[in-house]
Amino acid sequence: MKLARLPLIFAAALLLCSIAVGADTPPPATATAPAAPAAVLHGSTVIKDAAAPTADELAKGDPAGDKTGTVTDVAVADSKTGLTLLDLANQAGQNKVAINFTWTLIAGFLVMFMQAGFALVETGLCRAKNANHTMMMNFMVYGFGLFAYWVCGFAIQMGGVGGVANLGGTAPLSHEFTITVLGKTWGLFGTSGFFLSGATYDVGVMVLFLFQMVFMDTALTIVTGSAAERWKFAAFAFCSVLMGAFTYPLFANWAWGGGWLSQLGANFGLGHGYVDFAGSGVVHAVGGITALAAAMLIGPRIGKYNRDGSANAIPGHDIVLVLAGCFILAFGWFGFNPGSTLGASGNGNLRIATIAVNTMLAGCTGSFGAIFYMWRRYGKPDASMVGNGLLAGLVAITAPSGFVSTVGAAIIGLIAGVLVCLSCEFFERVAKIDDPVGAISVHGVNGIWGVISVGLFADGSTNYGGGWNGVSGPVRGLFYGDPSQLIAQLIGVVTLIGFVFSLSFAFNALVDWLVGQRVSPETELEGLDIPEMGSLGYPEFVLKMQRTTVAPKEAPTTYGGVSVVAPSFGSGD
Amino acid sequence: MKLLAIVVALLGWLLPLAGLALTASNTIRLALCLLGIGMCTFAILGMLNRAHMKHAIWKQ
Repeated sequence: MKLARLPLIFAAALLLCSIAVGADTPPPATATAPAAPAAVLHGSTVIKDAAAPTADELAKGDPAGDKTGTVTDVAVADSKTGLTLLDLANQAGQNKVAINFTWTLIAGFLVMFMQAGFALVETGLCRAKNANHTMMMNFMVYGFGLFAYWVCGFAIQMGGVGGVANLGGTAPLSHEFTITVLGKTWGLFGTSGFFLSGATYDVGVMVLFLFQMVFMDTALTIVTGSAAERWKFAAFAFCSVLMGAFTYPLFANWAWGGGWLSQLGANFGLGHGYVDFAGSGVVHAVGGITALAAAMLIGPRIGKYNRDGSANAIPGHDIVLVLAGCFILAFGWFGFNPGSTLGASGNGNLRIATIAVNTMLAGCTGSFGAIFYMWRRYGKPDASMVGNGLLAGLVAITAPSGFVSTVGAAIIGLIAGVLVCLSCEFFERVAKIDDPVGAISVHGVNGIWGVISVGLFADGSTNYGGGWNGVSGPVRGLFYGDPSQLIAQLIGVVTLIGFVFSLSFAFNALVDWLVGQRVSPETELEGLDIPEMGSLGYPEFVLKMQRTTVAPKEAPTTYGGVSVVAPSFGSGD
Repeated sequence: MKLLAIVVALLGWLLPLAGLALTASNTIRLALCLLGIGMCTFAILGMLNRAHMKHAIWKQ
């Protein structure tokens, strides 16, 4: 019982620390330095006598590194005139954008690698007989999503975002379809950037596309987890294209592309409008809610529930894959959250250090929350749920990572770790929705928790050098004096649950009508690898299992008119 | 039943949006948000999921 109280005591202590830290925050310094006389300089001013290493000195090599990268490396527009102030200013501007390009691209590469983490987690949590199918879904979702996003998804999402200063402008993305309702302008979707053609054939736009594309793909791959082990590959392909082309970009436009959710602050005085720094709502909740729609429509796996409605555990086949995948995901998250500044150079961008630490902390306390809960409730620290606790903490901190203190991040992660356990139990036992990997709970429920937590814990310490979503001043949550920010966040939540779910369900129902979502009972019992993919994930492993099949504990029954025996779970080793 | 559930979910979404125009009171807006979230959740888990469970594979 004492162990059971630990999370509560820990959370209460962190909350008190958070409030204390907030109360002790010193007021901003108001002292001003004496104004220096302004020197009038012109771009054409020639810079003379700039000290630079000579050719002879450079020829000797530079082991200390103090002669490499000097004034001689600054590009000069006119060699006859020599180096001018304008040359220096241009070089400084290009350096800033180059740093931001490099930062954002590398962060995007990290996020892309998260696909490998998702593939390992989902495959490990499924049975060996479906390993090839599960891995292939995670592999091909990258291509299906990328193609749909290039065709129209990116244009719908970011076509009207306007200039992104950190990336040198992205001015071609300037067309948003809007309507006027209640005397206010509501941005609905972008209309420039289809196929990345025309004026959007632009280097800044390309960086933004790559970064946003890998985010979109993260949302898509969440769905493959909840529908695993019984989803037709063709249906998966159709659903992924529809989600990458429409569902995800639409909500992402409303939140990040200048759409109506982001304007709730400017139009209705609700804080800074809907704030979602790196995508708890845009990426994870959209993915998790679509996963809920798919899992509900497809139905539970054969053998998951008994006739009386009680649930059976269907353990995954490789916990090593699961935890290795979780580590890869946690590594990729350092691209996800800090990368969402879209730059490392510029006003407020050095906040990336805090964002990275917040990310790390919330993942840590998320695994704490899950391990405490599982240990107390079941007597053992369940490995797969601890992995899910880590991911839940990371999902929850994704939206607030840019706006909260480290204490706030720790509390958000801890709550997420407990929440994911409670949510998994609820969906399995009460709602009777079969989610083999816990995607709905990890990404959907904790994505929503992350969105809400911005409205509670945002501490007003930063505004990234300007007004977030066009509203001046830093972002503050309820605990730091702005209740209206919480309302903006809740409007985002109700949009996710009400609109995104309905749209996802409609798309999934359409695909069900067109090609059918679920494989046949025979295919499901055999395993999807051979019937759907044509080859086994582990051929030798399965041969071994066939020799050592254990007699089923339960009586034969029928599903869908096919006589079967209740499956024996486990690897069969 | 399924169609009705989707309609209720969409109404739950539109409720707080209507509240933006109807009132400037943050308390009422907050209440409408919570009511909207409740409506959506009921529509999805209470109506739509129940409709699907009638024909669940484990009941056949």
